[in-house]
Amino acid sequence: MKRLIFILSLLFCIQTFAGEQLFLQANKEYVNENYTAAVSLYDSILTKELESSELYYNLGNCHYKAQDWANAIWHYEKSLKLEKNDKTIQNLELANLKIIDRIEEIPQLFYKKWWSSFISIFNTFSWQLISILIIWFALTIKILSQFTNYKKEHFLSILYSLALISVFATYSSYQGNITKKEAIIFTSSVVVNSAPTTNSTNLFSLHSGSKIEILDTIGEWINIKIANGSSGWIKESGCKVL
Amino acid sequence: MKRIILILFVFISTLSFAQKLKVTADKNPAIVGEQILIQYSIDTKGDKFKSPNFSGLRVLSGPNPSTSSSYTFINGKSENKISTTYSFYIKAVKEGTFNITPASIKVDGKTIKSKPYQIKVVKGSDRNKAQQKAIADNLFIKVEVSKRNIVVGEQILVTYKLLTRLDLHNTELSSLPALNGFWAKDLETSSRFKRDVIDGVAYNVATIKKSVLTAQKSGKLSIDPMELKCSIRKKSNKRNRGFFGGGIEIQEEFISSKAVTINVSELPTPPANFKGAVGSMKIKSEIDNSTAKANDAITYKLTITGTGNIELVEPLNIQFPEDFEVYDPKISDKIFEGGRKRSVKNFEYLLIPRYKGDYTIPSSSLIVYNPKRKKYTTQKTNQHNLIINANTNIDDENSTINQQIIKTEKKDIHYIFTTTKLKEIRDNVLNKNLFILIFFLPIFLIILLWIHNTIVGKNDINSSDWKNKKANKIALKRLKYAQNCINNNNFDSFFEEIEKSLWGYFADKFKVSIADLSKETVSTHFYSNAIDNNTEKQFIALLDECEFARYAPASNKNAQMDDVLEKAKKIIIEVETSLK
Repeated sequence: MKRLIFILSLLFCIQTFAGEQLFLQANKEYVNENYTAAVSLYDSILTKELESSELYYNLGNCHYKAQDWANAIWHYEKSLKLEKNDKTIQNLELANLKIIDRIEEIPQLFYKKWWSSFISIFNTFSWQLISILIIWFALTIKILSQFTNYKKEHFLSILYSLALISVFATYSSYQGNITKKEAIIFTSSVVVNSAPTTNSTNLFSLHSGSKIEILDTIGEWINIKIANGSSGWIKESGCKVL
Repeated sequence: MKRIILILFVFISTLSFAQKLKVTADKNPAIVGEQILIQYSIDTKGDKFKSPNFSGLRVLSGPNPSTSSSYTFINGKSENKISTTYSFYIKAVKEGTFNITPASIKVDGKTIKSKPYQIKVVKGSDRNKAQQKAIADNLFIKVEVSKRNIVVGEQILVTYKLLTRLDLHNTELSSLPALNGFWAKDLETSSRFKRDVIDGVAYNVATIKKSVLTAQKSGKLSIDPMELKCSIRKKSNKRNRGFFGGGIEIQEEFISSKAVTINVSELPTPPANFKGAVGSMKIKSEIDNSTAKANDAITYKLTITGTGNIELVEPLNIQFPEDFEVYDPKISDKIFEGGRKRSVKNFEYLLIPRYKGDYTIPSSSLIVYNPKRKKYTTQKTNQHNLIINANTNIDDENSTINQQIIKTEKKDIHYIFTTTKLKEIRDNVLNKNLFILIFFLPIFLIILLWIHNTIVGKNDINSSDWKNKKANKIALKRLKYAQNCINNNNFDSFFEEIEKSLWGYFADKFKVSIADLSKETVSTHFYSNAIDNNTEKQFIALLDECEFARYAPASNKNAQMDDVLEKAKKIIIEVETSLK
């Protein structure tokens, strides 16, 4: 059994090493402005079931240079899902200027903004770990104070409130990153219907590169919502899920 | 009878008022290859004529509108007649019956339609056919295309040659070839006839038209036929020859070239900066001065030489230094044969450096697709280094510093990451239920502990300790001001403060109104709360001491103050602990 684990981990190491070599090679192609070659090299890393925020970022750059805005946006968003980075956010903003649709976001209330920026400090997994660690730490302190004269009422109450905050953050982060499904429109133009049938009222149309949130799926139709709050139904084939 | 005529006359006039668009043809049935004149006429003024659809027949010319008006004055009656005619020359290409759809015209806002018309085209007699063939063999247009399979942007040379063995009187272009999807440039031709022998037959050959076509889109592009109206001089075979040996008859004949299809294929996936240059080109850059003074003009000249669609090459995107004022380039070219022969295109940029310093004009590149070698080549210009010296003529450059606000006008994406740490693709989160289990287990345990404590933990050993600590805190809080007085060496107010604090404490603790405060109430309340007699005595003694000290100056006030404060603290703590 041990040997098997050892071999598997060794294989994984070799795999990542090969992937990183490919990454460097692809970077060279990017420098030489062979964007299609770079894209195929980066993609070959993805087919090895390996990923990283930087990989998606570089892919986004390649597609940006090749003026494939929808793909660029998709990869930047994917990169941001793994890790928040200022470079990625700025590039995404530039790519969003190139597409046809300009969706005006509903302004968020200030505390919501603070809360979402607070949540984005860590990813979901870290939040989970943090809240678990805090609550277990609190339990240990509580048990210790039970059997010794060492009283830490204040400290404990601080720990409880921290645990409460972190579990809320975990919940929001889980909702935002895992439960919430988002997608990018890939077909050049898509008509949004009011119901999941072709002959229902056409509400508005979306063009490639726009980001949508998937609320529901019925057969090949998906219920979508865009950042300005409008929602409707489109066919699933028109977009690519993040 | 007269009446009948009158009625008829009225009837006819009303009939004629209801206008009709009449169709006439000069020959029907017609013979294959013959020209037919079809006329649509109406007896008023009309506009917005809609042509009919001559399916299967070739329109040589038309609609040619003409109007005629006549004014007649008969027996004191004047009549003004206007008629409008639209005529078409059509040619029957093959035999059969052809339906011509109705044409329409607008008269006074009303649309008037003609009747559909049918034309029969029959096979000509053998003699007629032979005559046709004789003309076709001896008079035709030949289209020469330099290449039939090209890529987008590639150029071809199309030459139209008129070959004849007949005596041509006159030729006239009747329709120019429509060039769909091509960018055309006509070359000069001399239309003089030359003698040429083709397959042993001598022809008079004239180049009518020569043009260089650049394909603008991909697909099967067709060059439509060119049509020529030729007047052929023929010796008349009629007997009545004129006096001056005339007898020459002129026959008009329409001839057309064949349509040519050119296969234009898409370019192989072009590199990012490819702007559509196809051919073989070279690029060169020159600069007239590599050292200059600030504010003096420099000329940067970019020359593209070679063959191909050089005329369509747009100015390159050259990254001039930000501190340079750049004017739009002056473009001049010398194109030979539309770029099929070595041509030159010049871009001349006027640059004015504003500040002194060392600058470089980076090399710029032109990507050219070479259709012969079937690949893209990148032509690069040289990089130019410039040394700009301060301009001594302008004083203010040195005296006042022209500061520039740094701003980035052009935005581009950030550069790629050069290193990365790859991970396996999977959702890197704990399962929801697992998380809930791990998180809520300790909470459950804590709640259990808390319940245990509230039930069992009342008689805790540490409770007296806890009480002591609390009493100490209350004493400190009460005597805060007194402590301040010690720190400030404020003797007079210190004792007053102690007294006030003690009374205040007593009043608050036992809920006594300020009016009732006296030493008697102290003893009664202390007694009723079962406080030690000793403590009561100390309390009253301290109050006395404070009162005394306020009015009788003691020798060592500092020591006394500390002592009194300690005592007050002790009393409050004692009262606190003995209560409850």
